[in-house]
Amino acid sequence: MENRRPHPTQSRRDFIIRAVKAAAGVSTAGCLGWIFYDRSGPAPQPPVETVTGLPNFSIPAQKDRMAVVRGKDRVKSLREGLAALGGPGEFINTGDRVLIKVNAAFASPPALGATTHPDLVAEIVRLCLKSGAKSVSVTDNPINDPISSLEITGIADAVRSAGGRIVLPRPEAFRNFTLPGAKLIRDWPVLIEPIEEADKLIGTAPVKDHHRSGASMILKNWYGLLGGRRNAFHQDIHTIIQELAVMVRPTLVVLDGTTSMMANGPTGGSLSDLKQTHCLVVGTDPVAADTVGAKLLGRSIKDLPFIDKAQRAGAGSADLDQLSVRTLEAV
Amino acid sequence: MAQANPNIPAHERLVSLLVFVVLLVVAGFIFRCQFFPNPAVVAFRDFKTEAARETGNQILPIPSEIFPLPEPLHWVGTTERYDAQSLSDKIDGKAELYLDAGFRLLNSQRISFPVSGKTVAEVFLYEMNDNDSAFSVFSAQRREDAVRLVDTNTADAYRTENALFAAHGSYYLEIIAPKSLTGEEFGYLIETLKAFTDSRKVEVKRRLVSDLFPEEDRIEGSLARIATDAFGLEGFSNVHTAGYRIDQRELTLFVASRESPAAAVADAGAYRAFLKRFGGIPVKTAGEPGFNMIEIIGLYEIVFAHGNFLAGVREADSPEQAIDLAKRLRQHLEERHGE
Repeated sequence: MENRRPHPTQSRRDFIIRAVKAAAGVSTAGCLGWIFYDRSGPAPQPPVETVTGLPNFSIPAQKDRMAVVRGKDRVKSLREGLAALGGPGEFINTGDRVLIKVNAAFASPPALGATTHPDLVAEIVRLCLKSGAKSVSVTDNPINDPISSLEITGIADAVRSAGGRIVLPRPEAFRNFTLPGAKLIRDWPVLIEPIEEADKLIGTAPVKDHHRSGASMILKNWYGLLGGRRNAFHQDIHTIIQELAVMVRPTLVVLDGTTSMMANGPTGGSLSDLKQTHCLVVGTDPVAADTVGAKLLGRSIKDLPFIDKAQRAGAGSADLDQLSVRTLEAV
Repeated sequence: MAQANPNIPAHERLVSLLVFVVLLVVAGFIFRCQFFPNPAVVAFRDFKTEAARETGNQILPIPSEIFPLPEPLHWVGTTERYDAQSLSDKIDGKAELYLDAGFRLLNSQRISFPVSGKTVAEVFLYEMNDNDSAFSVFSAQRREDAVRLVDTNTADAYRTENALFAAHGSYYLEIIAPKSLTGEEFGYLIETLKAFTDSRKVEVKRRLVSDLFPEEDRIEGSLARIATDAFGLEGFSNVHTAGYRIDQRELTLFVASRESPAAAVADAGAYRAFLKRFGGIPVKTAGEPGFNMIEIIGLYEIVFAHGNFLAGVREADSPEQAIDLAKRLRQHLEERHGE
């Protein structure tokens, strides 16, 4: 006969105690669920229209073109650069409504190099109007107060004196936007209205160090089209810049490295943060422009992951050998 | 009374263990995701209005002026106030430099000069957690053309062509003008700094940072404090550094204070391991107990623990140079801090 351990038995009393405890637990959970149950459900939200596509402002015939101009005078460099690409008429047609996206992020005077220089903005406006543009609008959604930023940077004055108009980032100018396939730009407020009213888009920004992303140039400049609490994207800064690069396809970009902010960006503060790098890039490939800008800062693409990410996403090329590049000295 | 059945088959135990492991993995994944909130969720939180900003649990009204100014200086416009939540609304990506170091509040406002028409400078007054935090952000942004200011009621202040920067107690102050300043105009920045130090009486601590390092060959103005992630090592925090110029080459000494000798030894070990991970090769230091030398990219580093301090030399040209400096540093710590 096998020597087996006796099977443990349970008395009726034990069974009843356990069953009562279990029933009490289930009842408590059920009561809590009943108490917290929301019978009415969430209030109906007004339907929110989400935009999923922005116009592509690039001109196929002008693809992969860039002029790198060495010179101390940014206005002269701009003229030389555009002339090397065939002149402003290659990009602006009669009757075009042109939108210029500047970097007016901070209420900072132009001498500190934290924003697009007003002389450059004025000249771009003038050249567009001279080429027959019907209107030239300048916009940004600054980090600081918009009116203070546009005034203190000198950009507002420059635009007005050149015959353009300022488009302020009014709340009604934003609409929710989703970039197809994006991780971050999903149902996010974007400054859509001035973009939809434009036929051509020009992006212009200075070359700057940036504490978070490593550099702030053309690609980072599109950040100023975002609304909401966009600083949340700082946690994944290189991905958001990549998505912005895919989202925005400009006609032309002007990267101003006449004076570059080498350290303590993006705000700087001391004139000694700036270096006279005497270089201005005019081109149709924002990724290529930023690649040139990186060199002015003494950085490589490895130091600025957003450039490679944007390239891999098809927003442009960091391989300057693949582009038609003119390098010249401004006279 | 019922008893647990000890005869649970092995395969049931294995399945239970597997289920437990899967639950742990899921929990770990969820824990990690906590640090990467969906921006859309963050964006729709309820933020307080500009009129009142919360600091800790106290709602503070925004003052009309940051501190009183002497004639003929005047504040222009309104005071702007930013806390940890809103700091990036003023300085964007640079906010993290301050947040990592221990930031509490920023007040900023413009002042006007009575000369040269309407020169207007902007004052940024950062309130940090403590003296060390203020010194961290002060030293991290010290400009190369910094000219040290003396007789300003504060131990740490310098000027550049257009600006003045100072650390005073737990405060970090920047006064930034839009152009190069004349001597007379700069005098107004000094007056502003003095008005600030008069308005904020702080306990002036004996400057521990300079006491940590030997004076000979030390580059003036090179003292700094790295709040976190020093030298690229995550979590390597509260590290003081000083620059030295020897034989026309510049190198760095560092000292960090820890809670105990054991903690200092542990952190020294962690830094050595970090250097080895990036290709550092240990080098024997015959006759120098306690010195751990690593050669990396053709330069020499020494790390050692000394009492509650971990300290070392970075980027020395030769083993002899590294050892010489490390010995000077260790002797200095013994003499000044009795360790």
